[in-house]
Amino acid sequence: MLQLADSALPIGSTAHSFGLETLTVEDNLRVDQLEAFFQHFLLETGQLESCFCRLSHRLAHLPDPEQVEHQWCMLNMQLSAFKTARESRVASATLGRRFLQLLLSLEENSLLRQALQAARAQQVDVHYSTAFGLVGATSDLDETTTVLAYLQQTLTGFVSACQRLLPLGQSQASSILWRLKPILIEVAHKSMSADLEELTIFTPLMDIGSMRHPLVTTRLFIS
Amino acid sequence: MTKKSVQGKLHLNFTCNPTRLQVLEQSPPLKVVRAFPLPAGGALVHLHNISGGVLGGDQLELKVEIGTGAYAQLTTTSATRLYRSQPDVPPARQKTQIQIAENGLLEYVPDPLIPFAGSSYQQQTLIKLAPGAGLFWWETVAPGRTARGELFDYDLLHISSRISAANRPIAIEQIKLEPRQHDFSSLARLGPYAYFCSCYICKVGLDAQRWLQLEHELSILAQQLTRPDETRWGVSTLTAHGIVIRGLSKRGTTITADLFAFWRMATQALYGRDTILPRKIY
Repeated sequence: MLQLADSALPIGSTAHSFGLETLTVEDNLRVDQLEAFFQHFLLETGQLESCFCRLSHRLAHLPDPEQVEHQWCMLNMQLSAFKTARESRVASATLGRRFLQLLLSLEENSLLRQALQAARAQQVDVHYSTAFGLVGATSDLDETTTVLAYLQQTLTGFVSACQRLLPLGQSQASSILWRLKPILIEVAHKSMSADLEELTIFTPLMDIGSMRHPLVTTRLFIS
Repeated sequence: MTKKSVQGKLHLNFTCNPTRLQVLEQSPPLKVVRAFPLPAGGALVHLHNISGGVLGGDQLELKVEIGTGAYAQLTTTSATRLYRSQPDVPPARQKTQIQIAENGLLEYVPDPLIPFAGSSYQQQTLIKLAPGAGLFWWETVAPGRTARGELFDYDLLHISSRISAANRPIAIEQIKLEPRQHDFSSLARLGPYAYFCSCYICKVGLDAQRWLQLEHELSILAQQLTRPDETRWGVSTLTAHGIVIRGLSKRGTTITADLFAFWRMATQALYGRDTILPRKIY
């Protein structure tokens, strides 16, 4: 799992900022705001994705393969519907698909193969958080460990993007990641009672940042 | 349910050739008076709330069915005021269910929601689109009665909106705002803005490439309408069959005019005609 949650995993995660780049250009997101920003980011986006990661992990324990396939596609469809900003949605779907493909190229797994084929057949996105949840289950990792690894990987990716966008040093970046651990754990635990009907997220400025990213004249990131 | 709460229902059905309104159920405080014919063959209906706003504990239901090929425009008569709730009263609720049949079109363009200090409100909107169905819908939320300096002084604003087409969800927005517990000024949330709005434009079956083209055209307009340090607009295609436009503003005075500009451009692109603005004073 340490290897799979490493940002060096060749699935392209370092190419995406999910709207963060626009915020640094248009909204003057500064280094001194980053810790609070990521805290709120985890409580909103992190919470939503954790729930999907956890629900996906639970699918691996369903006895009926048809039920697994149906619920897997439904989960991904719903997450696509939550992600109204195209660039961020496509980025998540690209990472998710590549993640599953990479895993299957390393080791055959019937559940992961079925998940990828079902999504392809039904023209459904495979999101990164749902793919991560399913891979965690097939690797015999428990739910919470999988969710924590997902959150850690996502947060590290965002902080790494900030190091390229802002004058953020390595020590500062490590300090931010370290100090946000309690929030990360809180978010992972809250997601234990995940219920799709009750999920909420309020990130309008980040959504607009992602929507306006194609208009930013000089871009380091795809999203 | 407490003694004070009110259960209001409104069930509207629109049929085609020409579009006619049938009021299947109507109970106060929700009310419609009549339908006005629109030049493009549709019907405009004003939604009235005769109590002047949503009172604490109100349980309101709006059901709208747009028949095959029918064209309806729905608007409110003024901003929806969400009044202060008593502590022992459950949150006011408004549930809206909308079904648009094949090639039907609904333009649902209400005035903003204004949550007063101490208000507690839950809103659920479910929209189902059949093949060829079209939708223009926006929702604008004010931070409170800004003229009296009231900003984010409400207790709860819980909004859940789901749009589905061909039995697949294409847009889900679920927000739960409790200003006393959350810091909205974070750049991960509202940042320096106070008003927010979402506008959904859908037409089921339209090619994905066409939506990308419209996203591009509307994004250029969004760029023109964006005023640094005051209003910001963004446009994106949905996962299928539509587009969302999101806006943030510090003052909110230009949001409606900007939404009209997006509506005009999208109507021309999707239906090849001019937009007909609702008959009322803005």
